[in-house]
Amino acid sequence: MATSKSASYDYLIKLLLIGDSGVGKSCLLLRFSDDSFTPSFITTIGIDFKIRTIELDGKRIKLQIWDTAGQERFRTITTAYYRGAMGILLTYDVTDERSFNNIRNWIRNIEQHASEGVNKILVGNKCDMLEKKVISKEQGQALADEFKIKFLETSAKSNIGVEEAFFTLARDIKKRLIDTASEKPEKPSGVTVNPEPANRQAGCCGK
Amino acid sequence: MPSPSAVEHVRKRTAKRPTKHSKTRLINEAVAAGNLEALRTLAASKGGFVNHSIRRKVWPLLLHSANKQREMFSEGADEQRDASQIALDVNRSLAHLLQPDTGETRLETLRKELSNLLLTVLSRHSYLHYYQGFHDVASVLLLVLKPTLASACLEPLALFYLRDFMAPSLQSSMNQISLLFPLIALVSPATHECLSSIEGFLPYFCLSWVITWYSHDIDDLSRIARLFDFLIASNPLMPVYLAAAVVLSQNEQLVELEAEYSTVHHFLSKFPSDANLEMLIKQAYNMYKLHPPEAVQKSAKLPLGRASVVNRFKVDFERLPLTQEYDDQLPQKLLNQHVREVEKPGGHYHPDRWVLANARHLAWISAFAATSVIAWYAYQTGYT
Repeated sequence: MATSKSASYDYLIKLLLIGDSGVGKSCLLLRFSDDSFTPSFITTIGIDFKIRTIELDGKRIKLQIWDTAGQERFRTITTAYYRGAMGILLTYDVTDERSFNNIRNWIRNIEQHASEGVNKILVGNKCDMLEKKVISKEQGQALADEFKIKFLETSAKSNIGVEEAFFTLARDIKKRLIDTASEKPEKPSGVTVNPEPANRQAGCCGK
Repeated sequence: MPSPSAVEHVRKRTAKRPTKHSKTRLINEAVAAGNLEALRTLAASKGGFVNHSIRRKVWPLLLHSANKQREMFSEGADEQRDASQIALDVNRSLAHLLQPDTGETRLETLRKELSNLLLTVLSRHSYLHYYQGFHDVASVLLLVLKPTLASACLEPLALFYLRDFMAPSLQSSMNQISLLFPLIALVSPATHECLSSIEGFLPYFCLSWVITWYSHDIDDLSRIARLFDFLIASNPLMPVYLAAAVVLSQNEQLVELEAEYSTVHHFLSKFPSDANLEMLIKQAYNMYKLHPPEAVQKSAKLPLGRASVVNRFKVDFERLPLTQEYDDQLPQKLLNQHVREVEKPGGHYHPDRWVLANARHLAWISAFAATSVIAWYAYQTGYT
């Protein structure tokens, strides 16, 4: 069954992968969720997510990571999911200058549609392709500094920096929403707390 | 035109669960007689057009492209509006549909052919916008029909079946997909209730099924080709009927799920790998007969518009006699004629949306009317 009824976790965090078509969003996700890579990856159409549960400071955190289509025409769908995201991975391809320049548009998009204070990280993927690289690490870092967000270069293919990118973002979200909230009496906003994982809601319309 | 009795004859014979051999004979007879109606019936019955060599005869007939030659695109590929997106998608294409031992050189040749195929059609009709997934449909034609025939057949497919998906924005694709839940409501109110109990649930899960004719979600070329047999012989809305059949076939698991957006979306997004295609086709076919596209649009109060392929198909394409070529300028004329309704949500006329769209004018008219009434009342009662 495809339900999450049996899953046990303390918190659910929703992440969103965005960036131009072909920068490697689906490959980053496959590397992180299944620790695999396939060179014959296909285009993403529409939107879907993968799950990985990680442990941070003794808490089990279920990451639900939404992967989106990069082509402009699918933007209407993607933006509908911005609101529910607690963290966003802004991805470009270090061998494709246009995808790097477009990060500014993506950030503008986030400002328009995402929740305020949403955590972000800038990710320059395909850093293993040294011969084709046109965006330097310094350029990536400078852009990240400009928007005051963290930055990492990754390679889904060679498994460089992928774990670190997702963990960094998850840790920041935990700090913002869970740690600060637990100091206050009220519930943390935006994070789905899962107090009794074993007793989830009944079926969709199980009569 | 095929006589009704000829169609009935085929129907009777196919109803007897024909063997592959006898089905091949029936198809050949229909091809020889130029009986398109019989071919459409055979497309829906078990096994469809049986194998690729028969498909190479039948698909071009159904697409009115059997004698058509199209010059392949060669020059100035980079100038095409969507060239860079096409290049990105073509580079990631085909491998999943080929035998694992296919060599790199062969793959490269096929990808070059695929790119030419796409650019040929798109450069001939600049109002058709490339969408991610169109390359999946083209891949199937390329592998089943080979380059020359594929090129001849992709054009009518784009013009008379997939045109709504090739508008500048996603809106007209969404309009078609928005008919899924109303259709399910007509067929299975319980399933519809289950889906509509989820807050804000939208049928994005079937987007890739519909706009790629399932070629994005099935890895086995012969299974995809079987679905194409059926879809080429049907109204362009048939992929949505198939999507409804897929959802209904998973009803048992669906009702067990937690009524939560992510969970249900994730579950439904996976096209079931063990799906019984013949059964799904049969169900979609029956649903279509019971609730044709006009009825679904009416019950949903979501008309697709007069320029939609769904509403034009019968007149522009299905009724063409075998020997008649389709009018490749017709879609452009239609779009020009109905340019204002193509991109609107929910098609050409929707009372609520009309009110919203014209709210400013209505407000002025109401204000003017109210002022007049007050002035008249004041005059009558002697306040002035």
